[in-house]
Amino acid sequence: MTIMEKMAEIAGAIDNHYLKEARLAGKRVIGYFCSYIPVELIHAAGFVPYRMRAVGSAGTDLADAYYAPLNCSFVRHCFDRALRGDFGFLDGVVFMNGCDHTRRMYDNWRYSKTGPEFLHMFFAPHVMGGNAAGAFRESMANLKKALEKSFGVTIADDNLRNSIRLYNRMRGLLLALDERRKMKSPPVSGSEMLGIVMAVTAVPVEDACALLEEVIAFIDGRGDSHSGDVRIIMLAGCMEEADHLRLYEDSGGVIVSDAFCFGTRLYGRALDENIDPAVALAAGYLGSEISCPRMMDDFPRRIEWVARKAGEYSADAVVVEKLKFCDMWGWEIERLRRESKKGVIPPVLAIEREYLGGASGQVRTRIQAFFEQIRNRQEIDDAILRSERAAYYVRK
Amino acid sequence: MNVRINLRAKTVFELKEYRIVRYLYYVLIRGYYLALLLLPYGVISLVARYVLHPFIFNKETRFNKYIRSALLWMGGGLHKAADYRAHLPIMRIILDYLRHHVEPIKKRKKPLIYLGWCVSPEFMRAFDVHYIIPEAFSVTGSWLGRDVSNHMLEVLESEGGSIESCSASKFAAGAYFTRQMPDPDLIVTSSHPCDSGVSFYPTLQNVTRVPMYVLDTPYGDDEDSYRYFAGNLKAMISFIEKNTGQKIDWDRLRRSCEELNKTNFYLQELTAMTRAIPSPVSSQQLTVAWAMKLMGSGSPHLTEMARIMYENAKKRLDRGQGWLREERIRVIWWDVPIAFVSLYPWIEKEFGAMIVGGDLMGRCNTPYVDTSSEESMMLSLAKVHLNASMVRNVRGTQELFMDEFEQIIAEYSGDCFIFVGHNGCKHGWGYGRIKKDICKRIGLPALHMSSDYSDSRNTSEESLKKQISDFFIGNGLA
Repeated sequence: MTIMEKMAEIAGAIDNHYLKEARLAGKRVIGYFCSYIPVELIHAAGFVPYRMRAVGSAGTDLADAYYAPLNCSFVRHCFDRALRGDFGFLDGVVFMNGCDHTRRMYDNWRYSKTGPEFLHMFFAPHVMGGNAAGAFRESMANLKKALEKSFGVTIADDNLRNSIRLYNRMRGLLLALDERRKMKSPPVSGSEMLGIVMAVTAVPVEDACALLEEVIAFIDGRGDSHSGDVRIIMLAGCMEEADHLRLYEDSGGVIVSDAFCFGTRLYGRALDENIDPAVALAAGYLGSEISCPRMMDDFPRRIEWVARKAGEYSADAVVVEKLKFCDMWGWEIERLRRESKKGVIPPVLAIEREYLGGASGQVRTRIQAFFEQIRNRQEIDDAILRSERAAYYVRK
Repeated sequence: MNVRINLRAKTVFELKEYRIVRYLYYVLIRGYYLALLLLPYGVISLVARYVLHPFIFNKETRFNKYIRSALLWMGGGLHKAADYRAHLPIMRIILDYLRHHVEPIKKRKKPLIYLGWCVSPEFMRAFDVHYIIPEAFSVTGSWLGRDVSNHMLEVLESEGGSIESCSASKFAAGAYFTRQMPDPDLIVTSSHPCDSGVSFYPTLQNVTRVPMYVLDTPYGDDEDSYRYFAGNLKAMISFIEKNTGQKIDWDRLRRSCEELNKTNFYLQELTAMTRAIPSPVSSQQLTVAWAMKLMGSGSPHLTEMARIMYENAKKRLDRGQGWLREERIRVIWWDVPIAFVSLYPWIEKEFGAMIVGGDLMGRCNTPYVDTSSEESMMLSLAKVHLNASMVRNVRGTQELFMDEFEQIIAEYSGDCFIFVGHNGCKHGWGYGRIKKDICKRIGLPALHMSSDYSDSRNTSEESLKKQISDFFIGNGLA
C-alpha cells in the first residue's frame, strides 16, 4: 500500500488505527467542528483533537426526526452518525456557532442525550476586526476552563506553546505540499490533497507530521498526478467527497488550489510562537489566510485571496460548491459571480449539491460544459495573444 | 434599472426608480392619514367593516392588490372605532420613516445609513442622519401586492442571489437592484439573528462599496455577553462619528430611550393582557406595534400608539370583554408571524381564534433602559438589542427559545400550537423535534407549516388557510 492509499483509507473512515492506538495508550479524543476552533488548546490538554466528519454515512433517517429537509445535509448526516453511536470513541465534542444548522446540532446533540458527556459550544465572532480578538480570547478561556473542569487536567502555557509549535509544523508541511500545486503538472491532485488533509485531522498531530513527511517524499518522487488542461481553484465549505472532486479531474480539470474547511482554511495560518499563546491563537485563527463566508467584514480580503491565488497558481477558472440551503455560500456565490463579471477573478462555475447526494451525471455534464467554455476562451485568448505578438513583431 | 412587470392580466406598468416608496409615501399612507384626520373614527370603522372589509378580505384580486396588504396590516377591517385612534400615530411613524427614503431621493442633505433590522433606530435619532432598514422593505413593499413581492425575489434570483435565504433579505436586495432604495453612505448591521442577515449584508456592501460596521452578537446570555455587545455598540458610535463627521447627541439618545421605555411599558402590558380569557388584545395589534418599533423606535408617536391600544384593551379587560365577541380557540403561535398578514384577521373571523402570548415578533418582553448615565445606557441598550423580539430567542441555544415557549404554554392557556416555519429560518427548523416533544408531553395539538412571508411561490395563502382549517377541524377545535 502506498502512502497515498494509506491516507485515502484513513480519510474514508470515521475511525482509524492511529486513533485506536492513541486510545489504547490512554489518550482522550475530542471531536471539533470548525476551522475556527483552536485545536492547540485541546492538544495542550493532552487530548487528540479530531475533526468531525460524516464520511461513509448511509443516510439521515434518524437525524431527520430532529431536523427538517431544508437543513444542511452534512449536518444531518453527521448527526445521524452520532445518533447511531458511530462517534462512540469520542470523549467530548466542541461545537461552534458556524451557521444556523451546526449550532442547532449542539442543541439536538444535548437534547438527544447522545454521548459523550462533554459537549461545549465555542463562540467565534462573525467579524475579524473591532473587539473580535478579545471575544475570541474569552471563548478560548471558557473552553480551557471547561476542559480543565470536566477532565481534571491543567492546560499550562508551556504545553500550549508546544502545541502551537507542533500544529505550525503540520500546517507548514501542508503548505509545502500546497506549494507544489503551483507546478505546471502538479504532483498531487485535488482529490488526493483533500484525502491528505482529512487524514491528518483524524490522527494525533505527531503522527500527522510523520505521515506528511512520507507523503512529500512520495510525491516528490513521482511525476504529475494526472493530466488535465483546465486549472481550477475550488471554493467550498464542507467538502469531504474525494470521488466528487474526481469528477473534475476526470473531465480534464486540475484542482490547483482550494478553500475548503479540509483545505487552505485549515492550514492557511501560521501562529506566532514567540508571543503570549492566547494572543497568538486569536490572531492566527481570526487572521487566517482565507476566511469562511460567515466572517461578515472579510469579503474584500477573500476576493483578493482568490485573485492572488489565481495568479500564483495560474488558474483558468474558479469553481464554487455549496450545499443546499446554505445561506452563507449562497450569497458568497452571488458576490463571486459579480467580481468575476468585473474580471477581478477568473470565470466562476457554481454547483449546488447535497452532501453524499450523488447526481454525478448531472454535475459531470455541467463541469464538461464549463470546461469547454474555458477551453474556447483559452483558444481565443491564445489567438489574440498570437495576433498581438505578430503585430508587435511587425512593428519592431 | 427600469423593470417592466406584468402585474396579472393585461395590466403592465414600468416599475420605475423609487416607484414603490413614492406610491407608499404620496398615495397610500398619506391617503389613509388624511382619512383618519378628516373622518370621525366611527365612520372609519363602519367604512372599514362594511365597505373595505368585503373588498379586501378573501383574496387578492386585480382590483384590491394595491391596498389589500396594507389594510390587512392595519387590522383587516376588524378593529373597533376606538382602536382606529391608534392608527393616526401609526401613520405618522410610517410617514416619518418613509421620509428617510424620499428626502435623500430629492436631495442628499444628510448621510443615509442602511440599518440592519436588528439594530435599533434610537442611535440614528442621536445623529443627524437618514436611515433605511432594508428588510423593512419586504413589509412596506409587499403592500403593493403579491406580484411585486415575487418580482423583487425574482430579480434577486436572476442576479444570482441566494434562493434559500429569508425573503426579507431577498426582497431588500431586489429592491436595491431595481433602484427602489437610494444608495447609502454607510451600512450598520449586526450578526444576528440568522444566517440570512449574516450573509446578505456583505453583498449590500459589495454592491454599494460603502463602509460597513457589523455589531457582532454574542451567543451567550450573561453579563459578559451584554458587556461585549455594549462595547460593540460604543465602537459602532465611533464608526458613525468617524464616517459622518458628526458627534453623537447623548441627550437625544437619552430622550429616545426614555420614550422607548414608555412604549415598552404599554406593549408589555398588552402582551400580558392576552393571558386573560377572553383576551382583550389582538395579536394583529402586537405585530403592527413590532413593525412600527422597527421603523420608529424611540418616537413619541410610537408611545402614543401603544398608549391608545393599551387604554382600549384595559377597558375591555376591566369589563371582562374580549377582542372578539366570542373567543373559541386560543392559539400559541410561537414563530415568525408574518407568514401572510391576512391570516390573523382570517382566523379571528372564521374560527373565533385568538393568538395569545404574542407571536415571536409581537411578544414584547424587553428590558428597560437605564438612562442615568452614558455607561448604564449603553449596557441597557445592549440588553434591549439582545432581548428584542425574535433576537433573544434565536441567536443562541435552543433554551432561549424553548424556555419562553414553555412559559407561554404554562401561562397563556393555549388550546393548540401553530408553527409557521419561515423558509429562511433554518435555526427554527433545526429544533423541530424539541418543539414537537414539548407539545406531545403537554398534550397540545400542534401544526407545523412551511411558509414564506413575501414569497407566495413557496406556499400560497389559500394553502395555509386550508391547512389551518383542517387542523382546527381535525382536532375538534372548530
